[in-house]
Amino acid sequence: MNVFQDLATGLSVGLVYGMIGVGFVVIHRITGVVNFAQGDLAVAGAFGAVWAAELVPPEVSVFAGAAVGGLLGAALYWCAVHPLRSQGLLVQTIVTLGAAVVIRSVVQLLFGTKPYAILPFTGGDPLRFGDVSMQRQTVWLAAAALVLYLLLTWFFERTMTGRAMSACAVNRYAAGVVGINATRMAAVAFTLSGAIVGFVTATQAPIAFVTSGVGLALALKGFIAAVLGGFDRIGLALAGGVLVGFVESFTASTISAAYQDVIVLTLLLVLLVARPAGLTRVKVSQRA
Amino acid sequence: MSALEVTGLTHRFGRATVLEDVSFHVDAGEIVTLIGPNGAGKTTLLNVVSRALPLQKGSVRIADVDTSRHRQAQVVRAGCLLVPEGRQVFASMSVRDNLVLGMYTCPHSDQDDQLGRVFALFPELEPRSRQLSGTLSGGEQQMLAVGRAMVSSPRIMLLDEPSLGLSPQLVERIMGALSQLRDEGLTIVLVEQNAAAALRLADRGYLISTGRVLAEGPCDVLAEDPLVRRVYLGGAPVRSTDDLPRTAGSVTQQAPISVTDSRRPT
Repeated sequence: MNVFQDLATGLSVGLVYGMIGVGFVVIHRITGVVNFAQGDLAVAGAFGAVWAAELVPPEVSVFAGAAVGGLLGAALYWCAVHPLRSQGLLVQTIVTLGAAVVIRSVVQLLFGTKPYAILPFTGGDPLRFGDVSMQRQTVWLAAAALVLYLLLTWFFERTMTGRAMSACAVNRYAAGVVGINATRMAAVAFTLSGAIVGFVTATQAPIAFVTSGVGLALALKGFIAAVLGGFDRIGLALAGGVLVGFVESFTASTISAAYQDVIVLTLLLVLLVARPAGLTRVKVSQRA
Repeated sequence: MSALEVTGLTHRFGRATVLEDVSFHVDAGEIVTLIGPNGAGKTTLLNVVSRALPLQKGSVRIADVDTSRHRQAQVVRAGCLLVPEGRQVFASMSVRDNLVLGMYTCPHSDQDDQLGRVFALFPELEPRSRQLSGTLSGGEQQMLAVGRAMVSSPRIMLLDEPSLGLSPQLVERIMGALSQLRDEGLTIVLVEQNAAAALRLADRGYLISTGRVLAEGPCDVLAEDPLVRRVYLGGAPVRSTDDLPRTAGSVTQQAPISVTDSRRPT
């Protein structure tokens, strides 16, 4: 067992889980909805990049992935979640599960079930650090995740729209009082979240094959990441996703890749019982 | 010219009629108070005017513009700001962030200039500008709520129970600030349980009970009016027209009162 190699392997998948977790947090903070279509938005975004990669260089095609993810996120909000706004959060959350099936089915209709990949941004042999090797694309992925995290932090803390979204999360009634349109902010949250996961999953596509059926698995791992972040902190959700990636990687190298999901989902159960606040100090259920 | 004109406003929660054919107006630069017992519908009235609750029936004109079809954000943009009951500050955000969010509908205004206006009126807030607003005292939170409404330079400010839970000194402090804002030209609608303080500050008042306007008039006359004393200070809701006094000085008696159902408290 090479621990450092496991860390390097776990990082590439963990960053994707982490950013999907960030997507969960962004939507949940503003709307209270848990968007279980998050994984399928990510997959649809990646397929958008696969399609665009036939026309443009791979480093440009990932922006098509973001656009597809963002557009589908907006469509999900306006077509499924918003019309059910008077039915309560549980119904709105359940409809995202239905939407996930619809998105998955359309992607399967368009691309089938076979795996796809796009070329890495930079060619060449994997990077080697002693006996640890790392795909060059993993560095791009880590850089993309870091830049997205910094941009999101800047957006929420420094821009008026970001502050307004945070205000909706803190006190929706008061947000309305100062003239913030909470519906519009919710739409922005779904769009932003879809674009983020589309971009990141597209950036990972050169390393991991993209298949149309992995959306639910991605959503579950991203959900664990979001729980680790207390469904509130984007930084902790990202860190939580990386942790899930490490656990998967260690499981694959020490036990068997076949047990990855069992171990990770057991981790979720233990986490929900033992530490419902995730890595934060406040229980998710206690948040306003 | 009326800064605010509300006509025939009716609002229901399910079968319960909370407001029935309510009409009132506020001239530019005056303070008008809406007084009445608990459950009279005052808070609902402000929420409907500011469109925190939908307008079901009636019309609301702000500076001669019909806002009946406006959404809440459009009402704010039209210059009508609510300072809600219970302050409703963004508790986990700093004082400064709360004030900056108050400028959401006017992003091009000079932030420093607007914050300076608030800190000049409420100097207590300036040293606490980086403090989380949820950790402020009740009085400071009320100042922040007023300041948050001030920074968008509204035409009309609707204040719902600004003295709730405050000491007499703080009530005087808040009322003094409102008086100063009136002197600067702001139009204010004040809903208050503290009738004495409200009637001292305001120019005119409306007496509301069980969802209807019972009377209106200058505050000094209203304060001495037997109907006000009976309905508001006495606490018993008026249930029939026979309960009304025949004359009430220069107070204008409104539509006849009918027996009403028990209504949802606001």
